[in-house]
Amino acid sequence: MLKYIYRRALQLIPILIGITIINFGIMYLSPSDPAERELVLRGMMVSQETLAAMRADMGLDQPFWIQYGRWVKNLFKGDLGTSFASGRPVMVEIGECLPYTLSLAATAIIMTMVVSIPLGLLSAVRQNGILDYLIRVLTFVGGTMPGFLVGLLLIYVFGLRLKWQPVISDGSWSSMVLPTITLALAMTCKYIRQIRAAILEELDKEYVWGARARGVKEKYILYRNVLKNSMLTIITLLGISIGYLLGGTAIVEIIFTWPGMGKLVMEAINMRDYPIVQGYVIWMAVIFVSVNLITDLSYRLLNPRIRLSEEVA
Amino acid sequence: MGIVPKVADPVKFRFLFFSALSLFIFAGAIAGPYLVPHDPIKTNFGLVNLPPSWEYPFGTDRLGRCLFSRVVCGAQVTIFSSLLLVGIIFAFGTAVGVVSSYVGGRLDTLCMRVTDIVLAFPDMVLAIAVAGFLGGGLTNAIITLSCVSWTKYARLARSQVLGLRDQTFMEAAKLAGNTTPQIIFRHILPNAMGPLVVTAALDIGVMMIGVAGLSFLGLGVRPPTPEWGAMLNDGRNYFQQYPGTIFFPGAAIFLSIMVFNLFGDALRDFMAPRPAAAVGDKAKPKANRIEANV
Repeated sequence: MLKYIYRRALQLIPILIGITIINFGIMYLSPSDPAERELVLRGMMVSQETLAAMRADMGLDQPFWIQYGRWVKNLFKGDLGTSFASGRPVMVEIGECLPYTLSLAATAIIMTMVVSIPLGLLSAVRQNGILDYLIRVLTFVGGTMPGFLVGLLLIYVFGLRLKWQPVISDGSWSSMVLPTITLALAMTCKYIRQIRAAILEELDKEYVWGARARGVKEKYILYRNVLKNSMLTIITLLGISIGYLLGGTAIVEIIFTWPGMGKLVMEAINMRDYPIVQGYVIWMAVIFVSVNLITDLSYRLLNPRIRLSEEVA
Repeated sequence: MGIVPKVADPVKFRFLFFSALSLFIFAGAIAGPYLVPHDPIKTNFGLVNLPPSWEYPFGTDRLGRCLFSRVVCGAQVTIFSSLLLVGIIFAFGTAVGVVSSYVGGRLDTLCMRVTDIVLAFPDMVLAIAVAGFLGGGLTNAIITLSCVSWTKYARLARSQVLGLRDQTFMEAAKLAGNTTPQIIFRHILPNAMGPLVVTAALDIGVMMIGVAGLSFLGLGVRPPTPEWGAMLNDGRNYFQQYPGTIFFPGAAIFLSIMVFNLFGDALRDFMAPRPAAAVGDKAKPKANRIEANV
């Protein structure tokens, strides 16, 4: 296991380098000129000479790799630059928004789990029954709806018509309900279908027939064996979903004005506040990569078949 | 299976039905702009937020534009940009996957590293960032989404080729004196195509969500142009006055994504190797197949 962790961590190095290069590259190639921006900010005249002087002053006349190196060095010190718009460090701005996005993602995952495991199980046990058919149709419809449409419909029904929920989130717990449902709906539908398929496949295995033949109670087989073995599918799904969640929060946050990273970055884009955008991408990529690492490791930890075969080898 | 065409072949019927439905939508998207009753971008402040009527079947939006005409014309932008996108990522991803795995060695390692790095970003996060730097517009939205989504095809094509490379018929093709392009186009591609085509069909809906999503965020199609995502974004501040501004474009995008997804599912089932009718009842129940959908 340790050896695997070590190898997996080594693989991360080129990926992390790639992430920083792409991220810096986008910024480097972007049409805005930070030197010009700085001049305007200080109220100085923008001319060829002042621009050249400012570029030299900010190190913008140096080759790409030197600028990149300096940027990475600052990155390691936790310095992502300062926001053009507010003048505050990017790290501080992101630090304020990140908890909101993470809590939204967390509640969405919890809701998905709580809803999809029982429904997937039910659908599989009642295969081809009315309930199964209903669940399959509804999950197909729910999985097809784009998140922005779900969000708008929820606002219309629960916010404007029934007035159960505030239309604009203020960051409180109760205003989290609609954004969470919006984010979780498509995921829940997908999970229900996948869990159903996984459980059906598991139910078809010989050990289940063996257990039944020995007179083990159906409920015991279902909860202790089948569900436990199907958990591996769910872990794989979770790893894939994190990417969707991190991206999906942007749309949800805009719709519900949730004060998270997505809202921050959209406002930054509108104001051409590139350091914030850069910080957003770095953070999201790092979170995504680390969550994938964790799911990968827990998959191995929980699946003795892979773990043992590696330890023998 | 297919020697004597059976009348009652539900899988084939489903495939034909949804192909026809998809073609119908394409035809509607092409012909739409010539058939609509009103100019989709002409504003009329005398007729703001009207409910549906004979003159304006879906009512009018906050600028007095005919919603019906806008929804119909929006089909063209949303659907054809998604198709174009699928075409681009399919061609590019497959080319990268096939060439890198066929050539192998350092090129293969390099290509796979690049795919790994692109995959290290959550799709929508990278799309938002790239679109944010490039600025809005349909062309930039297409470039952005292509940059983000081609990796799936590269990986799939690669694994397909690796499975084919060491088979006997490949060796036979080489011994028969075929050149590398001949081998790639005549022997590898036809054999590797199946799963790639199915993935592409299922991706039409995904790309529609991507294009509409970017437009919804204001990073795609610019406002006066009718596009479903942009229309939803436009309508969301005014749907208290007239909910039709989000219902009609929302229904349009939902229904067309559903049709394309069902078409993709039907295509997958149609192309999957099916057991002959005689063995049919012994075959595994269909529900056990992996759900590749959304």
